[in-house]
Amino acid sequence: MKKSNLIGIAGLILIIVSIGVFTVKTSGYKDVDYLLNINESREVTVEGKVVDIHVDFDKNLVVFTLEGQSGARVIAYYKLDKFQSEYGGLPSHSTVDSKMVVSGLFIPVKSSIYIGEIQIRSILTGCHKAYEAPQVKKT
Amino acid sequence: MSTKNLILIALLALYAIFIVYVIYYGPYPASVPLGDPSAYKNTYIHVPIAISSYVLFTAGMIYSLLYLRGKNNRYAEKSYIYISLGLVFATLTLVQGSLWAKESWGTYWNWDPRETGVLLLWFAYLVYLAIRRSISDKEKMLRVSSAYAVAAYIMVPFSFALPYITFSLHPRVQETSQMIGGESAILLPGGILLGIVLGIALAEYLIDLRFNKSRYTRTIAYIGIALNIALLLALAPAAIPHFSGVINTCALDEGSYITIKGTVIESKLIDSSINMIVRTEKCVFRVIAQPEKIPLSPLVIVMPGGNLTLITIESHNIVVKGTVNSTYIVASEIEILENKSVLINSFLYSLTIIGLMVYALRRIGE
Repeated sequence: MKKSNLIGIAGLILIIVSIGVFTVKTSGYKDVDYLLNINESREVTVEGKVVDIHVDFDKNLVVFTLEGQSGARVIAYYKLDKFQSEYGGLPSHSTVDSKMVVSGLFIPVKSSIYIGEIQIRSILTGCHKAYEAPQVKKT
Repeated sequence: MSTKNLILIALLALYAIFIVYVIYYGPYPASVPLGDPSAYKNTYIHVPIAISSYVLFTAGMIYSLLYLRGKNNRYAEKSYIYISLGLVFATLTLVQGSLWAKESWGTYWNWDPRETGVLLLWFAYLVYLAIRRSISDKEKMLRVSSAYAVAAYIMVPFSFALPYITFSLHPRVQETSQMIGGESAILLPGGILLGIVLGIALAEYLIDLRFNKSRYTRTIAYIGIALNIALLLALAPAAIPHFSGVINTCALDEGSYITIKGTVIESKLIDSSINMIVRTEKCVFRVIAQPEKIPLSPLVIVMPGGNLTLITIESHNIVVKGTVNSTYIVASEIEILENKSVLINSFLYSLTIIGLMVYALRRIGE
């Protein structure tokens, strides 16, 4: 193979990988800890570990507590009826301890327990827990 | 008919049987974080096509390298066919993945690292096609496009490795322990292997078509179309209940026999009966059924950790036929609906193969 071909291929690989790394880095999910630096309400997409799920039937809300890598926690809530109509049932307990990604409006709160609230617009949850569940089949 | 052609027909038939089997009998996770658990049958439909596209791109890269070493035009043309078919499979992967993502992750597109990686891979190989069409000097076109095909290949390992480098909604292999255990231990790797070999056999068929146009290529195209029409027909019974009529009222007449279609949003085992709350398009019904009426096995499971007992019908889409008894329905028949995304993704696979075969027939006619 010609030396010029090899140099051309190497250069193209470098360009393609650079585009890939840049795109993935800028489009990846930010950890809940990222919210520690936000002081005003804004649209965010963050990932965190689900440490608690609570269903508030009176307020028609599903409330998730998400934790970041440093232990910072944020409350994320979603309309219960909307959740049920979009996703079927109530949030599954198999979600607890798994990572979850949510998009929505973040409102910082001055509290020693939580860094703020997220009014969830969409849930982009992971499915890793599903693959660990026992299996079922139609009869 | 050559052995290669017979193998292709056998593979098309086997893959069609595989899809029918997994749709009607394939095991799937009993509990999932979001949506219908049976949507996870997409694992058997989406993953083999995705991995097959990676293998096709790998073969394309190898043929490009061989061309660059020996300047044999045939290698460059083989590379072109493998990469083109890889692109068809990658497109199918992206569409199938998006439909499944809507059901199980909440939205069609999540900018998940693996999704983004495969999209970039797709664009990288689209540029390869553009390069081939934009250079008029044939020798230069083959040299430049082959060099580019080798370089673009870097996106294959890159997109595959992303869930191992950063957090991704896509699981890593080690996180799919249950999915590669039990019956799935045969079904999933078997489906992947079948998908890979089918991809290669299809590429070889298209290469034959380009260089030989033997009289059997037309027969194979017709058989391929017939097999995939048969696949569509075999899946039709699973799709029909989605279009069947159900009651539009929320009022229940005591003693009447009704049919409702909805999602099980809650289920409990009470006095050896399954009590379910079923949400339909307009209202919510309480349904009571004997366990033997529910066609799922197992029906009750203890989740890992031992602190949660789950009735596996939960979150499934079902059709209930039964008699109204004051405020609830006593089910006499329950049918579990196949998830729409699984059915559409299977139809898309079938239509893609039919499309390829129609393309083949047109090429033969030229």
